Amino acid sequence: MEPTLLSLAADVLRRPLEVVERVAEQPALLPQVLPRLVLLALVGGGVFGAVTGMYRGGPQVLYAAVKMPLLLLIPPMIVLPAARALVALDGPALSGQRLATACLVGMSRTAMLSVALTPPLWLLYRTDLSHQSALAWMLGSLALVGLPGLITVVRAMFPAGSPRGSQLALVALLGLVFAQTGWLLRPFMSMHGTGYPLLCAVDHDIFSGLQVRLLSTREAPTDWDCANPLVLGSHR
Amino acid sequence: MSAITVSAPAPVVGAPARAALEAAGGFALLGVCAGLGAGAPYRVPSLALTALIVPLGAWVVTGLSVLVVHQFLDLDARPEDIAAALGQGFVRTGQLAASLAPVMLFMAATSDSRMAIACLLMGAVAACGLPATARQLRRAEPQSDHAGFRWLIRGWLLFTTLVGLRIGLDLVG
Repeated sequence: MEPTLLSLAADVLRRPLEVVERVAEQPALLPQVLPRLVLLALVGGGVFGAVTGMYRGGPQVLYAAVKMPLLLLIPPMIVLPAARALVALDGPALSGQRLATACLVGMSRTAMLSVALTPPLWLLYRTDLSHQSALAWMLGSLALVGLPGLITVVRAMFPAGSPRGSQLALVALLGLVFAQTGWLLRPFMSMHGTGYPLLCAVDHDIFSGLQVRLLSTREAPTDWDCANPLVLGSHR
Repeated sequence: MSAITVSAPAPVVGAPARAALEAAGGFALLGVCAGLGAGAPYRVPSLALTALIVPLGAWVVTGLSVLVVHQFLDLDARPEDIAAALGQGFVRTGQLAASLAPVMLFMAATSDSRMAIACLLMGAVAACGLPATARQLRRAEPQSDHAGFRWLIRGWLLFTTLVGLRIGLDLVG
């Protein structure tokens, strides 16, 4: 039976591995299921992004709503070949269909879980929260909802009893590319008193950014935001 | 509740020489991507060569030792089986290196920590490829519980890592 968007969303949250198995057993379901999984990831990520952008408001709400789903969808595409090779080290090679389904189920699960975190996050962002704390809350929320998604991806790809090393390597790779993609797509929340940058010029990387912004005891070094922002809006 | 179960990896398709060449190409590709992503085309040949020579040298040097010690221990597997297991491991590891090329290109093009990322990814290839090859060797040897064979595998893992590191340091130096 063809799943509705709602039933698919429920299955992705409750029994994600069954969704992957069902599509693997009935490839005819693929054309119906994949676009709906992408839609769930777009909507879920978009809502979370919009709430993140509300820290600053204005055009930032729209920018973050557009960029957050990209943050969920780009890294798996970069890591997919490596995932396939890691699985093939110790077992039969997986089909491209299974890989794509596993990734999309994991990402749409993360996107929907992120929606659940939006009310407390929105409430927090309505307080007098510093930019540094707001950023830390956003990263913490993403890590919290990203973990179940990553676990889903890994469990759907690797057969039971696969070596832990390969599974951990995939998690680490996905985490690394997620972090750097987030750094490239920043800012999701710009500081008050600055413009509304859509994107920043490519500079440094996530590691130096975290070192400067989160480990520093001084408030608000501007490096985290943008050295060379691409600004489409105006100052508030 | 995954329906897929553990089984031996699919055999490497195609002629062994061609598969080995493709694997070698996979290692070199990782180096090429590091150079291209860093916007340093003049460094591409040296990086490609480094990424290829480190695993190839380590595999060849220690592989011969494994074959010799395996025969000395008078175990059941034929030398061809051990060589095939080592070869399959090299091919799978090379395929893994090739599959990491998009990640290397992405990170090198967008990050300041290019060399650290290149070392990290090569380390990840080794950390996944060497144990996978060790498992191939265990499958090839009927007496895989033999104490001498277990020590042979441990020694191979240790010395392949050390030889690879030594070659890498020499090349970088």
